[in-house]
Amino acid sequence: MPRIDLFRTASFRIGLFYAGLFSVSVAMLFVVIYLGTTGYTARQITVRVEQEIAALQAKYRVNGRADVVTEITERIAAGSGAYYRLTTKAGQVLAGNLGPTQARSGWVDVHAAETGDHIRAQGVGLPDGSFLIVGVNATRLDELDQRVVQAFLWGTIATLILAVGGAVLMAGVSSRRIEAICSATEEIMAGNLTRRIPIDGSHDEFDRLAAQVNLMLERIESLMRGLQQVSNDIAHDLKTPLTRMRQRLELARYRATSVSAFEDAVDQAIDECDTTLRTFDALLRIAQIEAGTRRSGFQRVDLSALVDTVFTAYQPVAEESGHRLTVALPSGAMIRGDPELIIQMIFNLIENALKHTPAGSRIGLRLDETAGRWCLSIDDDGPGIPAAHRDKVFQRFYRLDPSRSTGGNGLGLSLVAAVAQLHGASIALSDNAPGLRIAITFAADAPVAPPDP
Amino acid sequence: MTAPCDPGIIAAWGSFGENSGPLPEFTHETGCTTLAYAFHALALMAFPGKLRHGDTARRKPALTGVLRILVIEDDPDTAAYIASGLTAAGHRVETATTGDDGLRRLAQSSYDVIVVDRMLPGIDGLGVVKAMRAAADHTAVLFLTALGGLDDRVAGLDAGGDDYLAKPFAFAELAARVAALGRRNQVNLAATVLRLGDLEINLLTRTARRAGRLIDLLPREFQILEYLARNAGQLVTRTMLLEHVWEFHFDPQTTLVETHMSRLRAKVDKDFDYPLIHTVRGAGYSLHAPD
Repeated sequence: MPRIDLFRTASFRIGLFYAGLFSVSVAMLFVVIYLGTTGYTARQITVRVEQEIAALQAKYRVNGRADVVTEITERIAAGSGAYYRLTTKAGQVLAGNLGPTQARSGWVDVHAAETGDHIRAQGVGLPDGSFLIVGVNATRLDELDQRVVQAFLWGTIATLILAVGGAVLMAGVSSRRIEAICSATEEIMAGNLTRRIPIDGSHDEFDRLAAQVNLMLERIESLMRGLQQVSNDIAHDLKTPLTRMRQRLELARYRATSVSAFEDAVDQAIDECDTTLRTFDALLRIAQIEAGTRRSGFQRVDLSALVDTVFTAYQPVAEESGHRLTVALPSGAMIRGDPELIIQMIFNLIENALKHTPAGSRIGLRLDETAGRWCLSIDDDGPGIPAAHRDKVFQRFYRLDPSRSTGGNGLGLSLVAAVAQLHGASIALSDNAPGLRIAITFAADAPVAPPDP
Repeated sequence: MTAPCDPGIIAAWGSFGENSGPLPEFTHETGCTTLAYAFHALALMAFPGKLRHGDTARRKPALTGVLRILVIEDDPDTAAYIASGLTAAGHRVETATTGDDGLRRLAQSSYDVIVVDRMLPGIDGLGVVKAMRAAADHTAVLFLTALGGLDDRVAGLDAGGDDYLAKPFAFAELAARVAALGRRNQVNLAATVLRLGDLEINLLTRTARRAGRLIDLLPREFQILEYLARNAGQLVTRTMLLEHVWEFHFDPQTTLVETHMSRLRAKVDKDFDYPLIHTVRGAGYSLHAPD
């Protein structure tokens, strides 16, 4: 397995992206938690201090400074938990349990000398020039603050480690799957068409992709096999008449004693040539139809009239061979298409039926409309086609008879399929019990016009 | 290359109608080499009825008029094949190997029929015919197209061609089509009644009578008879019938034509003194009165 460049894998990049995203969300979470805990406590401290000051100021307003001193002493004795200090203008301490601080209005942080506690305090000047400072122990708040920050830091580190680790892991897993696909495709390219992409049964998107690719490979393999079969069959079908021709010419070259014997040999050779050329012609014609260029020349075609033309042309032929050819047609079945190719298609369908049913068989041509789509069908009461062979009869040179002794070049139905495909029509073969039914349903986008008045 | 044989051979071929003797004599008499034998084979194909000991040995000479034909074909073998065969059939043939050469010859002299290959170096076949038609030259044109060329026919006819033939073709097919094209100029298209022996075809009432008796024909049978009568005395091939009567431009590989012809024959010939419809073995049919 080749070394994987981690930074170039899509999953690692996605992992990193998510790591970044998670870090941002952790930061946002921190802000919310921080404001919800530390911020709340800090606000409570502020409120408490402000309340204490307001209460002491109220006392001062009613009864003067002495009452404030009493109140402070009482509050300390009652264990209010707050810290106080009241000083005269000259700086003499009147009451309180807080150490010396600057006599400055506003918030101040004081560190208690003996306990090391952090006291958050607010100073306020009283009207007679004395100075009051009230504080609350904020050491717990500091600890909380520290814990929250630590938790955030650890959380961020853990998130990053998990995200990067996950990205590496994911990149590894997906790379292994991709590697498996690559090695399978390499083997297929090297010529092993039976190789398939492994599916690990996890039903993840890789499995879905692999299943889809395997279906495609299946199709390619069957097409390739068909192609090989066709090339073999072409070689066989063209070799046979050429071999016969060669034998006859050689025989004539050494054995013929009269001009008429030579003439016969040459005539036969020309016939064999013509047969071979007709096969080539049919192959080229099918290839041209499949190329789809004829679609540009599509016109409005009266399908009923075409079927009727071929039917009238063929009826005496069918009669001669002892078949009963019938037709059931509505008039004015208009479609868009190539009349010449449609005629040839109908020809080949009838010819196929005549060739593969015994004398006395009935062959029926029908044209029906269902849901705005015209369906051309031909059915017979002959021997039919076994279900297993039905989808193969449209392959070039495919013949039910493996000895290829029945007439025809095995291309008639291939041309039918090519013409149908060109017209966007679907072909269905079914059991006519007994016999065969071939139905060609033209695409709905071919506008169906009402019958002409 | 064109036929190296002396005019005597052509004259001899021209009199084949009377020559019922075996062919080797002929070949040995003229002393021509393999090429002559090839011409001979072509003549066989062009006039199988006359030369083979077949069912229709008695035939009038197939061509009533000598045609001046220009063959524009770049492949020397094919050009020689066509030119020698048509020469053997009694026509006067010239060949050109490029489109420009063809146009030069067309400017210099006039022809009855042009046989032109679609694929040519320089100006191709379509270009030649378009140039001809632009110059108001209405000489009949037969296109030769490649094997399996589905769209070639339409393109050829659109450019102003009168008929087309896909390569490879049987020589009889080419000869019959060239003859039909050459004859086109001489046929009176305004005629309303066609007569041949005791057969009378009324094109207005779409009825046919023989020896005064009305022949009951289906519309398609009438069309076949009309087409044969318009080309009376000429070889009409299976594919010509398929194209002109049914308008099927492909070879259906069935006994379609044969079946319809045998039915027509039963109606036209069966109860009468002599046959009018003749089979040209391996090539087609011909409608003509006895000599």
